[in-house]
Amino acid sequence: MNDLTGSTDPFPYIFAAYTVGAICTLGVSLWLYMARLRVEQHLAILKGDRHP
Amino acid sequence: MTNRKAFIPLCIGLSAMCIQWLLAWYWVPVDDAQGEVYRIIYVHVPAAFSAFLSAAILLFTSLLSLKSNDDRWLLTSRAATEIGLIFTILTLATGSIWGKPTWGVWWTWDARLTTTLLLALLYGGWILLFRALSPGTGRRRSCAILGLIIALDVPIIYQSVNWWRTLHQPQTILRRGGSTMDSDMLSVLLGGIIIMAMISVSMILVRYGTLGLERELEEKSLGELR
Repeated sequence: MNDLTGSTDPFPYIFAAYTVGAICTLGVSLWLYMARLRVEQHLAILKGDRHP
Repeated sequence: MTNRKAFIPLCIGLSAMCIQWLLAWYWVPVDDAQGEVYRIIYVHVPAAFSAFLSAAILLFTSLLSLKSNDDRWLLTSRAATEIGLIFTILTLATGSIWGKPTWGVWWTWDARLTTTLLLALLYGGWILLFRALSPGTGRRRSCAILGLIIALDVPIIYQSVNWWRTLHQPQTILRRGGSTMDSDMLSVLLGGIIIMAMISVSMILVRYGTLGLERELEEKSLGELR
């Protein structure tokens, strides 16, 4: 990460921080959606609206 | 098909976050002292604020849970704790990534960092406690007391940079004499805090709805077995 002057290239760190932020927010949103979908499908099966 | 209305505020929040991140990357000026790397602040501070907001919601629902026998407050507490844990981990991760180029280390036992790690451990402990205890008054009360302890950690985190000599920088936004930040930087940061708060509250509401449906599913399954 250091160049010949000893200064650090900041872009890999900025990119890493934003990537972690994106994975976290989008990943959790997807998990929330899948969890809701799973529960609603099970409820629909129990109510007899759908068959497994 | 799932009820999509519950996800609309979350989708709006995520779209707004993309715009805010583009502004943070390309529009706001470079910081004189830290250079480009300070741009991590636009993820780090909103994530920290959302972690604190979850703790504030947890405080409110824990107090209501102690006062009433309604299990809905316990479900709201669980949703706030799960989302709070995620945003605390995001705060620690982005803070660690920011710490390496500025302090030269990924982690140090600084007061601000240690109290934030304690918040993550307490959130995790709340989830373990919830799972370990069987439903009833005991679980409701124990979780509510731990929820109050979690909320107590937030003012300690906030004041840690004033109470102890820390490597972490002092307060930037809320300080005597006003913020030292450039107005463009400050507006994008405040926008980011509002957007991330909207995302976290939307996530808590969606999770609360799912937990309610899960309880309904359990009751229906038990009813069918009988």
